[in-house]
Formats: sequence, C-alpha cells, structure tokens
Amino acid sequence: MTLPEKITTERLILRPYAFKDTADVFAYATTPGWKQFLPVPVPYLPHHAEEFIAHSILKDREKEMSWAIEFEGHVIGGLEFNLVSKQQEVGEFHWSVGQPHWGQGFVTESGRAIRDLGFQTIPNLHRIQSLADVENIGSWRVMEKIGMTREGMKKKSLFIQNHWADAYWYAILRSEWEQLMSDTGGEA
Amino acid sequence: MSLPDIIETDRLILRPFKITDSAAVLGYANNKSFGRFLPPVPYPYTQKDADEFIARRVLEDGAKSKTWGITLKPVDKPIGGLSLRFNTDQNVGELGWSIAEEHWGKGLTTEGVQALIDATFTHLPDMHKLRAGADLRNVGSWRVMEKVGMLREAHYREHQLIDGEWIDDVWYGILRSDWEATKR
Repeated sequence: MTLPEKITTERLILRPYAFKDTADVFAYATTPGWKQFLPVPVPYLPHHAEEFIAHSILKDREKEMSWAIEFEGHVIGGLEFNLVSKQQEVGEFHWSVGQPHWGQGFVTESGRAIRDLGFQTIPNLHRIQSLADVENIGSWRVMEKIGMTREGMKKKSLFIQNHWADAYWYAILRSEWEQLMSDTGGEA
Repeated sequence: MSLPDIIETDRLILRPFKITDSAAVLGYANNKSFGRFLPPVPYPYTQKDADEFIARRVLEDGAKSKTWGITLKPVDKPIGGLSLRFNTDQNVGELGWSIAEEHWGKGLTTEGVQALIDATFTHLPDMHKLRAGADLRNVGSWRVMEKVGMLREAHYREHQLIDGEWIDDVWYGILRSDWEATKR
C-alpha cells in the first residue's frame, strides 16, 4: 500500500518532486537556518539539489514516499514518509522547510495530512515515528502538535555538519490516533 | 585521466544528459521501433520513464559508467545516447547506444561510437579492450560495430528470452592494439 502521489491540504499541495523544482529546492536549501539541524551537504550546491530530486524520483514508493510541499506555486520544503519495517507496521517522518516559511504551520499541516492518510490507507500501520535534533524546537513542536509523544532521547545520534547532536524521538500509535480522531471529531 | 564530458565530431556533440532533457528523451524513446531490440526500454515509454532515465544519469557513478547524450549540431537536444560501462579494474569497457528512429541509417551512431572509442583509448591509458553486444536481429547495431573496426567474437545462440522468443546475441570487441593499428 502506498499513499497518493498528490495530496491537497487547506493551503498546500503535496506532490512528487520534479526536475523543474531544482531552483526552488536550491533556494530553500540555502536559506540561512535550513542546514542548522539537518544532516545535509554544506555548502549546498546546485548539483546537490539535482541529486536530491533524482533520488526522490527513483524512490521505491512501496517503502519510501516523498512529497514536495508547494505553497503559492513554489516548493518551500519537503516531507518524506518511509515504511521502515517489512510489513509496513512502522512509518517514519522526515521533513524540512526553508527558513522564510518557518512558524506558519506548514509542516504541521502537511504532517497531519500524511498521518491521517497513513493510518487510513495502510492497514498494517501501527506506529508513526520521527526524530529531531533536541535544539530544533520548531521541529519537535510540530510532532507534539500532530499528537506525537516524546519517547526518548538518543544521545549523539545525528551527525550534523561537524558534530554529533542529541535527538528526541517521538511517535504516535494507531490507537492514540484513533482516540485523537474521536476526541476531536477528526479536527486534530 | 578521465573521459571528457564533451566529445565533438563532424556532425555531433556528445555531452552529458541534463535535467532539462526529459522531454527530448520522451520524444524519441516513446516509439515502438526505438526500444524493440533494447530489452530494458519499455513501450509505451512514459514521462516517468524519461524522468527516471535522467535521474539515473544525474546519480551516475563515474567510476562505473559514463553516459553522453547525442546531439546533432547545431541543436542542443539529445537524439539518442551513448554509454560506456567499466569493469571493476577499469581496463575493459562495454559500449551501448540508442538513437531516434528518424536518425537511423545516416551513419550518426557510427560517428558517435567511433569518437567514443577514440576518446576512451586516448584518455584512459589502462583501457585494454572495448566490447559491445546486440540482439542478432538488430542488424543496424552490429553493422555499427563492424564499421568502427570491432570484430565479432561470439554468437550466443538462443541466449535471451524476450517476449516469449529465444533470441541470439552477438558480441563484438576491439583491443587497444586493433585500434592503434587503424591509427597508423
């Protein structure tokens, strides 16, 4: 089972990356804050954007799904949802958005859509997890907003540029998602 | 030493595929005749197939293979492709090619392949031998091999099962010494 290639939310279109997005990817990947908490090449060069998109195009969607986050005609970031266990029981989120679009709820809006579609579409999906640098408050705040719970901290587990960062791990179980849906009437 | 990105001949410029070439690739590859003897090429050939082809070029590991788009001067738009795949010691290489049907029979592939053989033996001093294979029915392809001075080394009978039919394969090779002899 895989999720749709194109998903529309209130403000955003989530859709596959294409080579025409190279300039947008390069633009958001070179905004000042972007690299701060991500294991990405520094300096980020145009060929890195081409390679990133090429990898995205060649992903096996049965295991690794990725969407470009499009807002007002431009790609402002991306979101990946990887099925990390053989029977699709465990999904894992990764996301990033360029600094000018931080703090506007775009990742929350995207993550919520994928969370719901994941549990609705993939019958075996039991748990969705994610991680972020402990300093990356914006990212783990998103996880909390979409109903994920902090489960632990893995010390020095993320290699970012030149140092090992501690990472918080979060997750939401299917049972917790069902509870959340019934508590909020599907609005959470 | 490494192979040049750009190889120019009388009529052609061979250059790396670019991310903007997807439409051109789709244009020539979505043709039943184009892939008839090229087993990995699907038909119909879709935009997604073209994008994946370009994506593999973007991520190509130059230590294992190198691919050029064939462009016909003066238009910078691919009409086909040429590739060279290396063995692990980088002393034997395998050539591959494909070209749009509208450009068959004009000697363009021969011109491109000859230039690639020359460039390879010139720029890679350790390269000892180049080889290429084709479906026996693909006469145009193995004619190219003969025209560039490759010798038929093998004829494998009923060697591949394609669409329910057992296909013969022919393999050709050219040694550095063969190539040097032609240059004298």
